[in-house]
Amino acid sequence: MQTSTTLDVLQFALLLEYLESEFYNRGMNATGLIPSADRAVFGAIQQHEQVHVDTLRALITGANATPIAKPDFDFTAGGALTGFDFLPTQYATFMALAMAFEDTGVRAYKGQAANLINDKAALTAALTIHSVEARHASQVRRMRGQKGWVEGNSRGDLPAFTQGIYDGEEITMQGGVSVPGLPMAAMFGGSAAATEAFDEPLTKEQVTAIVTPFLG
Amino acid sequence: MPDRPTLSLGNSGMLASSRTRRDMLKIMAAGGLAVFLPTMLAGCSDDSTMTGPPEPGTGDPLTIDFSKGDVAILQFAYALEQLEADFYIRVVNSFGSAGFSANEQSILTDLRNHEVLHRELFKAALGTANGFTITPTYPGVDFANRTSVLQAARAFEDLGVAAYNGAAQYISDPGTLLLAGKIVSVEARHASAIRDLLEPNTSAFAPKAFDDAFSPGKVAAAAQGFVEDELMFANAPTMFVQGPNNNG
Repeated sequence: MQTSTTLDVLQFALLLEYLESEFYNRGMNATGLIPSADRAVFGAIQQHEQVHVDTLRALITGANATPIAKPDFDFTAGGALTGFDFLPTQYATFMALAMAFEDTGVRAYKGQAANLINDKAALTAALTIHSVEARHASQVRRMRGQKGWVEGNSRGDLPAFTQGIYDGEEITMQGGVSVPGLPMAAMFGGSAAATEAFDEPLTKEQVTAIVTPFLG
Repeated sequence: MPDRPTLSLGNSGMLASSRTRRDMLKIMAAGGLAVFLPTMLAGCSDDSTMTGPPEPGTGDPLTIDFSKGDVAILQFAYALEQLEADFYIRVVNSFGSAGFSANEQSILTDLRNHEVLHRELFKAALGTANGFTITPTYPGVDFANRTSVLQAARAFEDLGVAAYNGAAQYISDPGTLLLAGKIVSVEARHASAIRDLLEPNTSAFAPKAFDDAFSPGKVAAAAQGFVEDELMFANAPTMFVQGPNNNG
């Protein structure tokens, strides 16, 4: 049986997937925005996010609940990206938002895993989405000339309003152990690698703060 | 090479028979089927004397006892991380002959560092009482060949993702579950990068909307092909809850 906790997680995940799905639908439908060489990548991501939306809605409906409605999204992030409207000259901004959304998605799902620890079916479904979001994040980051993984709490070249997506990624204590202090760590990338090698979770409240500017 | 029995999930069955067919169809769309697992890990009974490089599975038994709970899951992960770390150390040590670009060398060096750190963390967490050292072997992998290395890397990273995704359901402690989550997404980032090196600018980086979630037995059967020790389970889980791809 799905508990209310599971339902809360599924509804929360659905909001994020609505955001991503709408974003890629608009991007793929915008004439002249995505170069032909990159359409295979973004077409795949678009399709995945749609499947995630459909699956989450089916799980929520199957638990005799009503999926939340898709909000109206504001992809200028409340004016932080003034004038962004999927125009042909705005591919760099589109790519930046894609990186921001994917890195957020990874941390958001991770933060909810423990809430599903007693619901194996929902946990496994959520984790198999979580790692796909990480594949997306790696790909988009690399297309933007960044590493596929997150070093420290660096947002790279993203605008300052995205910093909340990366705050907390710099921790190096894992399971009570200092990773840079491990015997081999100094010879294998030290503190930088220690932050890259572990993605960190975000709480629901942290994710809500990140997403709120995009809710029109 | 001796014949190795392969694991089969052919005796799987459904639970929750009280559900309506309509409910079941909805659930199947997102996995969730609970299936019975084979009671024994496929073992290697071959004891023939051979010369040359060690064959996978011909070494001493290495048993993971699932009655240890989360410790067993950490041991299982530790074995996989040892394999990955050893693999990328060899890859980086072979840079002189494999023809990787500077960018590729940077990526592979990062992957080596990450996997060594994963390995060392598990080593520290498990301590001497629960630790062990596996002996990797790489039949068919040519470390002087770029494509051969990247194809092996793809297999290891995809297997790692599926292993963590499938093992999570056996973890009891939320902190351990979170640690597994912190690692699995990094393995997925690796898998994506390696796949894009093999097939640039295609959908290969993420071939499916859901990643796989494999049962420990399925993971061990795949990993056994690269480990000299004979991987064994004791008190293995009898049930596995499938992910959306229903292939674990």
